[in-house]
Amino acid sequence: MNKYIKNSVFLIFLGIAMSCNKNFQELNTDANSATLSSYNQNSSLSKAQLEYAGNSDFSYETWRVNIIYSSLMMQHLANNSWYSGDKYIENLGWQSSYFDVAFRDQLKYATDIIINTKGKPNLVTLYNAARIMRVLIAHRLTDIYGDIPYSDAGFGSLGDAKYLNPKYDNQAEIYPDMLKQLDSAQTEITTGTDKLTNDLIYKGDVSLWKKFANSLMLRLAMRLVKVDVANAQKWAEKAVANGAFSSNDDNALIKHDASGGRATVNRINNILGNEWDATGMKTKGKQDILLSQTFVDFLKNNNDPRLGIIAVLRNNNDKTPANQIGMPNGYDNGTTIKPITGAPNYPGEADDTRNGTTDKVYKYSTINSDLLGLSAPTCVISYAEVALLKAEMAVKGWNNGGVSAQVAYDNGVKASMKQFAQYNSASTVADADITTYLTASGKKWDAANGLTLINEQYWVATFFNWYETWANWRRTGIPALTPVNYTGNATGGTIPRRMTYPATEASDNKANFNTAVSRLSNGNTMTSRVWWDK
Amino acid sequence: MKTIANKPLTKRLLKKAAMLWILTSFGYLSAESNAGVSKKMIPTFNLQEQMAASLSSSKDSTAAQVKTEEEVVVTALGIEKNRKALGYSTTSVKGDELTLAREVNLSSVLVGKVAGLNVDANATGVGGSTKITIRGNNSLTLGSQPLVVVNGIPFDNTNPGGAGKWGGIDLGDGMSSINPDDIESVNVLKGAAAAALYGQRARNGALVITTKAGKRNRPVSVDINSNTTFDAPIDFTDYQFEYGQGTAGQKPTTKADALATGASGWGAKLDGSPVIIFDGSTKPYSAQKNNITNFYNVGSTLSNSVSAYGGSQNADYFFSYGNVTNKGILPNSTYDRNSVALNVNLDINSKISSGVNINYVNESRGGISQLSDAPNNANFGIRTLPANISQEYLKPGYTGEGSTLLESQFSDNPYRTNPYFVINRNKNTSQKNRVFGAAFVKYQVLPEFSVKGRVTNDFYAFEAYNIYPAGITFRPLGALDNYNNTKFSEINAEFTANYKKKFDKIGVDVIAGANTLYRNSNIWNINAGDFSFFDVYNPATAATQRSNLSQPKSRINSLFASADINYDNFLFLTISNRSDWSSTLPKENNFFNYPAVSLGFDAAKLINSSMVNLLKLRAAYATVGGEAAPFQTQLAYSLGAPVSGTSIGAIPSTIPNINLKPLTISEMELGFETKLFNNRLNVDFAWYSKTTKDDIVNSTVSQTSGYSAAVQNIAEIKNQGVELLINGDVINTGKFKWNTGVNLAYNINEVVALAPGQTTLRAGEARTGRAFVENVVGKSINQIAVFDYKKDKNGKLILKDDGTPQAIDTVTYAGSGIHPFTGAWNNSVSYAGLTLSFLIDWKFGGYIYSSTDSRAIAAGFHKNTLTSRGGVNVLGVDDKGNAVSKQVRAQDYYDAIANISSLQVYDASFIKLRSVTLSYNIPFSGAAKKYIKSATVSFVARNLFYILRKTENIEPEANYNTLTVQGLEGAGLPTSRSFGFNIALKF
Repeated sequence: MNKYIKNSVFLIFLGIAMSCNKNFQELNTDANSATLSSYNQNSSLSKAQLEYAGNSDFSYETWRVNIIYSSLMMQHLANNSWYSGDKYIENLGWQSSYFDVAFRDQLKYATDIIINTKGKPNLVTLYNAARIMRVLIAHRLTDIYGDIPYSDAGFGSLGDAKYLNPKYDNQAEIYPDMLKQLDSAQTEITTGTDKLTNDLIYKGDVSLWKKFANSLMLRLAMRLVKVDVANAQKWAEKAVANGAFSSNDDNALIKHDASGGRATVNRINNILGNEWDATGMKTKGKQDILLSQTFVDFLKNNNDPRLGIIAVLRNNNDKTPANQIGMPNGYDNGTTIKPITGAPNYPGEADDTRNGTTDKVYKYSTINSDLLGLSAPTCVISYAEVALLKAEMAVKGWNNGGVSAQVAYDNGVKASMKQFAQYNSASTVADADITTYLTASGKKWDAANGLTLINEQYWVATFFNWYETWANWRRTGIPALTPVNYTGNATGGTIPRRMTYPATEASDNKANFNTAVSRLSNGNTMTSRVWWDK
Repeated sequence: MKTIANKPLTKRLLKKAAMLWILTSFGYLSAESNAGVSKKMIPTFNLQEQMAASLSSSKDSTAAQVKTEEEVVVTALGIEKNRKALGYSTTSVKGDELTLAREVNLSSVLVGKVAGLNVDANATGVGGSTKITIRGNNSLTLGSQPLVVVNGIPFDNTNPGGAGKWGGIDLGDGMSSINPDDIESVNVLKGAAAAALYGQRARNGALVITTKAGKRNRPVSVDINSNTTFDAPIDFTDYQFEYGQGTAGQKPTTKADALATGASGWGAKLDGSPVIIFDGSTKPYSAQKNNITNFYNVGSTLSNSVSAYGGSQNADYFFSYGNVTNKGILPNSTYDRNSVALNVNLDINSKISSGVNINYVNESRGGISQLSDAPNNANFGIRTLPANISQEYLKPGYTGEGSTLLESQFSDNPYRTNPYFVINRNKNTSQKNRVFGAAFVKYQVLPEFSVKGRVTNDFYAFEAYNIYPAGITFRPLGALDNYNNTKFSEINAEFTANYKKKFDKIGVDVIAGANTLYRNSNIWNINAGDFSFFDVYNPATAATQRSNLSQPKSRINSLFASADINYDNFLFLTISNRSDWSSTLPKENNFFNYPAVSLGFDAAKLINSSMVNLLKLRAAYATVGGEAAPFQTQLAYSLGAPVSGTSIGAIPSTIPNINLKPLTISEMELGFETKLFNNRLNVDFAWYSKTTKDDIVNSTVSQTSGYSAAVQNIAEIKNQGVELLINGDVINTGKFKWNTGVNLAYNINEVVALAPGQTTLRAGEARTGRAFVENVVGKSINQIAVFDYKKDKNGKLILKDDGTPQAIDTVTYAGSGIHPFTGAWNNSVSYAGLTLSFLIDWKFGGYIYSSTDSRAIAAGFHKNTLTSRGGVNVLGVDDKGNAVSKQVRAQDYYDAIANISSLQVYDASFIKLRSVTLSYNIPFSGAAKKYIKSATVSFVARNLFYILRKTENIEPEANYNTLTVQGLEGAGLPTSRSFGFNIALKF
C-alpha cells in the first residue's frame, strides 16, 4: 500500500507540473486585443491620418507648433500674452512637441503597415497608401526639424538595436528618397486588388490617392528650388505629368467626428473655438487668439472676399469686412515692455457684450466661429496649393502641362476662396466677388510681380495648415513679413527657421542626436536652417 | 502494513526523496551530494513534531521537547520551525503589538518593528497605499514589495492606481484589508533563503501573517476590543505673513486683478487697508493665519472588534467581526471597513485532519483626495492662498445650484480648483469586497509521513470612481475621469508530502510538493465627459465616452522540495529547491529553477556557559527567479474612438520581447544571534549581499522608434547591508519590568547596469516639471534629478538678459528618495498592571523634492522671499562672460529661483516619536473574575512629533507616491497626529 501511495505522490507532483504548461502561450495572449492575424491593418492607416491632423491628446502638437508657433510667426494670428510664437520666445517643450508625438502616433502606424504588408500581393493598395502616408508624415517632420530619423524610424517593434535608437538621416538624403517613394507608390497603388477600408481622406478611391501622391510630390519638388533647381524641376514636371489635383474635389481633407471628444474632433478647431476656445467666442474672459494686423490688412487693403468669411470682431460679432482690425504682433498685456495699449491706432478697451467682461484687446478681430466646427475636416494639401505651384512653374518656364501662369494663378486664388465652404457651407464666397478680386487692381495677375503674387496667395491659401505656410515662407521669403523684436526673444528678432529637437533625444538617443546637432549651423536652436532653406 | 521503525522503508523513502530532489533541480545540484545525504541517515525514530499550530495540541507529547524559551516561528509554506533551527534571519511581530497605537493600514503599524523592513506611507489619507521593502529595492519596474501570505493564502497587495505628474487618486492596496485584531503574528522572512520555498513571488521576501485560531479543549471565550482615536492635521507650512496678494508690490485694485493674482503673494505690505478680493468683495489687507488647520477637520477612527473562540478535543474554531469607521481629516472623506473571519480545524479521525479558513472584508472610501496636480485637488488650492486670503472667503466654493451650479474661482487659473468646491462636491469613491480563504486536508499516512492537499483563493471585486464634478471650471459638465472595476482572483492548489524522523542525534524533515497558481483579473476602465444631466455620471448620458476591458491572466506551475537536517539540536542544515514554469515568459525561457541552502550552528553548546543561552551562527545562500508581467511577448493591437464609424487603430507604446527570460536574484547572508544572561539580552545581527540580474525593465528607447520603451532583461541591481537587533529586559523584578530594544538597518543599493549604452532610466516627474525620479547607473535607485544653477567655469552665475539666474539644462542628482539607514527604539516599562510603551523611529540619508516649496517661492509665500523684497542685487556674468551686476525685481528673482530645483531638495532624514501607549490592566477579584478574564484600558497616541526634521514647509514623509516616484512631494494630504484610547476585554 505504501508503494501505491508513494508512486501516486510522484505522479501527482509530475502531473500538476507538466499538464498545465501546455496552454501557456494561449494564456499569455491578450484576449481583449487583436493579434497581427486578426487585426485589420487598415485601422493603422486611419490612425496615421487622424493623428496627422493633430494629436488626440488635446491637439498636443497642433496647439503648440501649428498654432502657438507657426500661425503667429507667419502673422496670420496674434497674441498679447503667452503664445510664444508671437514674439519668438523659447519654449523647449512646445518647440519639440511635434517631434514628441509624430513618431509614436503617426509614423509608427504607417511604418507598421509597411512592415506587415510589404511583398504581400493581396495588400498592395494598403502597402502603397502607407508609403504615401509615411512620406506625408516624414516631410512635415523634416521640414520642421531638419535632419530626422527616417530610414530606421518607426520600426521599433522589430527590436534590433538600430531600430530602438535610430540614426538621424540627412535631409539632403531624405528628400530624394521621399520623392522616389511617392513616384513608385503612385504607380503601384492603382494595381492593387485590396480596398482601403478605413480611409479618412478618400474613402478608398485609389485614383484620388494617385493625385494626392503627385500633389505631394509637387510640393516636395518645389521645396528644393533653393538648393537643387535641377531636381526641383525634374520632380515638379514629373508630378504634373503623373497627374496632380485638378479641383477642390480632390483636396486631401481628413474627416473628423465630434462624438469621440478630443480623440476624433478637428484638433485645430477644438483649441481655437471649442474646448479650449482660444478665440474666446464662447468663454468668458478668454483672449488668447486674435487675427494679426498683417493678415487682416493684407485682406482688407485688397478687398479680399475671404476677410468676411474669416474675421469677426471679438467684442460684438461684427463681421463687416471694413470694420475688421487686426492686432499687431509683438505686443504684451502688461504696462512696461511693449503694452498693446501703446500700439499704433490702438482701438481702445472694450466690453464683451456677451458677458460683461472687459479687456484691452476685445476691439480686435478674431476667427469666425463658422470655420471652427468640431466635425469640419482638416486640410492636408489642397488644389489651391497645387495650382499656385503650377503658376510658379510657369513663371520659371518649366513644363507644367501647358497652363499659363495667369490661368494657374487665377485657379489657385479661386480654389482657395471656394475652399472655405468645405469647412462650413455658410462660408461660401460668391463667384462674382472672386471675379472682382481677380480683375481689380490690387491682386490681379501681373507677370512682372508673379512670384510675389503667387506666394502671397499661397500664404493665405494655407490658413489653418500653418506648418505649410511657414515652410513655403522659408522657401520663398514671401510675403515679406516684418519680424518683431521683443525683449527676451530667442532668435535675435528674426523669424525662426526651425523648431528644436526634444531634450529626451539628448538622453535616450545620445550619439545619433549629437551627430545630428553637430550638423546644424547654429546648433539645436530656432535659427539654424534646414538643408533646403539655404 | 509496515511498522513505523521499518528500516528498509525509511531508506527507500529517503532515496525517493533524493531522487525527487535531483529531478526538480534538473542537475543544478550534483547527484553525489544528494546520495551523500541519504547515506548519512541513520534510521532511528525519535520525531520532533513541527506541525501547524492548529494540530499541535493533539501532539503535545512530542512538541514538549522544545525548550520553553525556544521560539517557534512560521516559515515559508506555513511550516513552523524552531527559531533556533533557522540558518537565515527572520523577525516575528506579535499581533498584540499591532492593535494599540494602530493605523488603518497594517503596513503602517509595522514601521519600526523589524530591522530591515522599511515602510513608506503616502500622503494620501486613510485608505491609501504604502510601500514595504525588505533589504532594499530589487527591481526597477517590477516592484520590490514582499509577498504577503495570510494563513497560507498568498494575498494580493497591488495598488491599482496612484497619483502621477498630472494628478490622480491613490486607490489603496491590499494591506488595509487585514484586521489587526485577528493577527496572531507577522513573521518577516527577509532573505531569499527564507522565502525560497514560495518561489519567485517571494523574491522580495515575505510577510507571513498568521491569524488567530481556536483553542482545543476549551469552552467559548470572547474577546472585545474597542479603539477610538482622533486625528488632528498638522500644518508644516511656515509662510510669511508680511506681504499680501498682488503683483509687482501692488495689491489688487480690481476684481480682475484679484483673480489674476489669486495665488500670488507679491503684493504690498499688509496694512489692514481694504482690498478687493476674487469675488469682488472687500476685505482687510491683513494676515489670515491657520488656513490649513482651519480647512482640515479633526478626523476620527473607531475600530471595534469582537471574537469568539474555543474548541473540543477534535476541533477548534475562531470567529471574529471587526469594524472600522473613519472620518478623514479632509472634510467629507471617509473610510469604512467591515471584516469577518472564520477559522475552523477538525480532526476527522486520528489520521485525517482538515481545516477551513475564510475571511470576508468590505472596504469603502468616500471623498478620496486628488493628489499632485491642481485640478480638483483641495490640498493644492489650500496651500496657494496669499497671506491676506482666509480660507473662509472661499466657502462654499460654488454658486448656484443644480444645473446652474458653478465653481467659485479664487484665481483665473481654471485648473486650480477652489478647495471648498472640491470637498463639498467630492464624488471620488471606492469600494472593495474581498473574500479570501483556504481549505486543507492532511493525511497522516504514517507517524513520520504525511501528505497534505490545500487550496487557497484570494478574490476581490473593486471599483473606484474618479469624478470631476459638474460645475468645476475646467469641465463644467463634469467628467468621469476614470471608473475602474476590477475583479481579481488568485487560486493556488498545492500538494505536499512531509517526512520527518529523528535518528538518534540526527533529525530529518523533508517536505516536497507541487503547486499550481492561476491568477486572473478582469479590469474595466471607463472614461466619459460632458454629461447631459446635472450630477448624473452615467456614461450613457455623456457626450463622449470610452471604455476598455483588460483581462491579464497568468499561471505558474511549481515543484519544490526542502530538507532540514538537524544534528543534536545545534547544527542545522536546510537545503531546498524550487522549479517554476511561468506562462508570462516565452516557451523557451519559461522554466526557472532555484536552489537554496542555509546552515545554522549554535556555538553555545560548545561554550557551555550558563551566561550564554544561545550563540547561533548562520550562513545562507539562495537564488530566486522572477517572471514578467502578462502579455509582454507580442504586440497587442487595439482600437481607439472611431471617426463616423471608421475604426482607428491603436498599437501599444512598449515594444514586446519574444526572448524574455526570468530575472534572478541571488543572495548571500551571514549572521549571528545570541541570547545571554538567562535570555535577558538578545542580539541578532545579519549581513547580506544580493544581486538582481536580468531585471525585466521597460527600458527607455528613442521615441523615434515609434515606441517609448522596450521590455528587456537589462538591469542589474545590487543591495548590500547589515541589520542589527538588540533587545533586553533591562529590569525584571517581577513587578517592575523594562524591556528596551533597538533595531537598525543599513542598506547600500546600487544600480549596476542598464541597457548597453544607457545610463539613466526615468521613473517619474514632478508636476512642476523641474524634478524627476531616475535610476542611474552607479547610483542607488530612485535618484532625485534636479536642475542646478547655470554657472561658468569660475563658478559665477550665468545670468539671463534680465539679470535673473537660470538653471542649466542638464540634471544633477541630489540623492535617493529612499533612506539607506532606518531604525527604531522600542520601549516598554511596566509596573504592576501599568504598562508604558513608546516607539521612536528614524530614517536617514534619503531626500525629498518639495513642489510645495518651489511654488511657495515663486508665489512669494516662502519666508525666504522676504529678503530683498524691494529688489535683489544679483552678481554674475552674461552669456558672453562679461561681469554683470543688476538689481532684479524680487518677484522675477524668486520666480527664477523656483526653477533652480536643486534648491528645493531637502534631506528627508527624521527622528519621530511614532507612538506612545499607556495601558492599565484592571485587576478583578471575586465574582467579577468569573465573567471577565481580563480588562485593559489604554491611552494611545501616534505620529506625535518629529524630534528631528530638516524639511521646511513639508513633512519629510510627504511623498505622494512611494511606489513609483519616492522622493517627490506634491500637494498631498498633511499628516495627522492621533490620540485616543483602547479598551480590551476578554470574557
